Amino acid sequence: MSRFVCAGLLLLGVMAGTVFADPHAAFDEGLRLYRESDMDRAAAAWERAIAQGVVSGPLLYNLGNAYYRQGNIGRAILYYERARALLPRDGDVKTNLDLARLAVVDRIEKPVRLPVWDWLDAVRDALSLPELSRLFQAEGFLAAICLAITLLGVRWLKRVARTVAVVMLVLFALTGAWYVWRAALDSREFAIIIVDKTEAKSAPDEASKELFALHMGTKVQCIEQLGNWLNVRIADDRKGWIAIGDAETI
Amino acid sequence: MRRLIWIVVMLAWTTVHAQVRFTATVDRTVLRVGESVQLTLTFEGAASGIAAPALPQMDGLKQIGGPFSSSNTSIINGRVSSSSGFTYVLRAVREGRAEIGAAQIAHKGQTYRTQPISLTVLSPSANAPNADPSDGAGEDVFLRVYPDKKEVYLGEQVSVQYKIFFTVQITNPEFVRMPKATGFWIEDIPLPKELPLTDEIIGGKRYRAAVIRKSALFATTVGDLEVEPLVVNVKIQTGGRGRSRDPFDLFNDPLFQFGRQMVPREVASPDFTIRVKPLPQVGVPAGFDGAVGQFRAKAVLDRPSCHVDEGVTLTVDIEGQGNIQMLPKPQISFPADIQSFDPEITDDIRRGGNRVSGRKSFRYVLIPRAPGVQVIPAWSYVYFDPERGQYSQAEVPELRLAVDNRIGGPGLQPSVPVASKQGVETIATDIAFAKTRAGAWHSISSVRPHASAMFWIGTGLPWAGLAAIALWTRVQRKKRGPLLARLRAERDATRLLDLAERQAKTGKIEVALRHLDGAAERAIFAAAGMTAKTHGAEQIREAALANGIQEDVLTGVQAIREECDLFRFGAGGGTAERCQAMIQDSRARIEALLKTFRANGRSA
Repeated sequence: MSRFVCAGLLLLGVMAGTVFADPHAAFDEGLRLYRESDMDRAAAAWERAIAQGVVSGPLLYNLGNAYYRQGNIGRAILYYERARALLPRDGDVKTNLDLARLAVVDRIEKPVRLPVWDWLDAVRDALSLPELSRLFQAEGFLAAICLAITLLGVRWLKRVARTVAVVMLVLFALTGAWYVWRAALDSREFAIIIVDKTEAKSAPDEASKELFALHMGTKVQCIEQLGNWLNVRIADDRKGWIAIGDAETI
Repeated sequence: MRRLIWIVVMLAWTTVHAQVRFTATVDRTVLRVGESVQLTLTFEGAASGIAAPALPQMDGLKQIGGPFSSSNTSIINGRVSSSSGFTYVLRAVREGRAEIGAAQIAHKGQTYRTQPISLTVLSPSANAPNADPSDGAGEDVFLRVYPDKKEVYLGEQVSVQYKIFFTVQITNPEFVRMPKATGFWIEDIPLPKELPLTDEIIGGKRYRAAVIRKSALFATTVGDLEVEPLVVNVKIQTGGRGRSRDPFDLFNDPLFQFGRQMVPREVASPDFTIRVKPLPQVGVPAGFDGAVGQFRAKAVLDRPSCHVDEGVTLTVDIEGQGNIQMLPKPQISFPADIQSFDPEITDDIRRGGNRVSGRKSFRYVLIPRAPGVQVIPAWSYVYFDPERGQYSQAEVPELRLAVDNRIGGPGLQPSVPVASKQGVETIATDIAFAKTRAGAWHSISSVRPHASAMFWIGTGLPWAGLAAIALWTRVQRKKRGPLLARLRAERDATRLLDLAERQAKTGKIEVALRHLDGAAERAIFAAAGMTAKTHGAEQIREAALANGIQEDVLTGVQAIREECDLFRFGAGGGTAERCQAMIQDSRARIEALLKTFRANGRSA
């Protein structure tokens, strides 16, 4: 009997947890607080939604807004960058990110490159990874269905199915390549400096020589981690070691 | 090269010189009241003994001497030409502009007239004109300057002529220093390529003369403004006269004395001063913006009607005499519902004669912003007329532009005032507002889909299903292959039998027999469950017998094929009726075989 009681209590607890952990509720709560200009609590509510293990593009974008209003440019940029990965074509995300970047102290001269590379980057980032994965799977499903029809179907349907299958297979291959291309960029982890200022050193050692200083909001590429140190590269290809807590990965 | 041009000029002159011509010259054009001027009337042509012509009508001048006659005869290449000159001494009696009208003379039934001459007569107390005829007189080459006015209003034109006089051969003058005229806007007046030469008598001496420069000066500031001298360089012939090398033997003309030493000489004109008066300060009309001269104005719209927000061009032309380039923009009051832009300005300046004239155009782009009849009110272009010494206005009547509403149709009038349009100005920038919809939720692991098992399951599942279907199809095909082949053969046999019957009815015996042969073959295949591609005829027969087909039935069907060959290649040939009868008989045998086949359950 006691075993049944325990099981019942556990089930109730799980159910209660599920209700409490509703990310929609946390999202709406954050939005209400945001409208009341209570940015600290709005950000906390949205962070709670993320703590439940789920994210959405608008949620990350709103968090960026809340941090922007708090004056925390580093975290604002961090969340706008995260939102951009899920909402690559959203104009608001781009606008706010551009505005937030105006407040970044560091101006790093990027190496000059041909416009065609910028255009290719724009093509690559036109769809998010979840969107690409859904497209990839849909094309694969359609190609498989059409091939199945060619095996089973009547003669006239076979001909149509064979044509569609060829088209779908080509698209399936192209989307797969696109996905790999996009995912390759994603695997190169980037981070945003979230402290006012951090010194990049020549070695993962407090006593090593300071090479340059980075300020809040600057985007860096993470090369490797060693203990509490993170080796980063900035846009002009300079490298240095910073304390791991001074940056957060996108 | 310049010398060559000069010679060509001289030749042209001599050609004209040989013709009959009646000319009037004065020894100066600017003088003071009480001073005298010499008027010489010259008749050139192949005649002598001309009587002194009567003095022309004169205004502001009085004859005090003359006529003093002179004559000159020359023989050129055997042709005799003569000229007679009559010199009158005139005195200026009134300040202002003096006119000498056209003198006329009758010769051999024809009347010849001179050109009228204008003189400027200054007051007795005025400074002596620097271009006094006595300046340089007596020298063999000298330069004079003739401004048509010595006192002008601000912005009024002064025409200045520089004339070179010479008695010896000279080369074309080279300009060494142009006259500097601080406080003036200068417009050069072009001269013809071939400078016209005239004969003038100065101090009783005959000179050749040519205008070498003409300018129009427009005063831009008030006061006594000095115009510095013009300096030119000419080469003059030195030494006495000798026999000319000129092939035309122009020995009587000093300009054609070649082979002498040419010595350069700088010749300068006198400087002179022009008094520039301010414009009258009394009675200045509203809208006066500094235009000086004589002008007319007109305004034209490029079309009488248009749509709302459609561009229309208004062209305003100001035309007349004066400093065209410096003409100010007209002041036009456009209606509130017409948006106007700064005009595009072009000018067309004519510099012929002694006066600068032309047209300045202002092209306004107008955009009506409201429908209805838009009226550009009448306006006037205000200028100061220096000849009359007073302000004048060129009137331009009102213009009407019918504007219809393209969207609402012609004649639609808005019921509320039409606002003038303007760009939206950015006051400040800020981040966009928060999103109010949460959108699609992703688990944090699915943000990188390839890192989750679901991605690979979702991607692989359709292909796994396809593989399963392919496998099943293969198994089924292997398992039901013979039965399917038999079914197909049975169906084909029936179809070919029907076709054979149809063809026989239409008389196509050959085709009917081919179909019948095929039907018999398919029926045997169906009975055997085999095809000829994989098995021989004997094997097929054995298989059919093994499937329970009676031997006589099978033999009967096999005989159909032989009968077809006999019918086709037999000696008697066959008719359509006989063919139909054979097909009927064959049908019975084939159906008997298929019936036996079906009775055995097809799977035998």
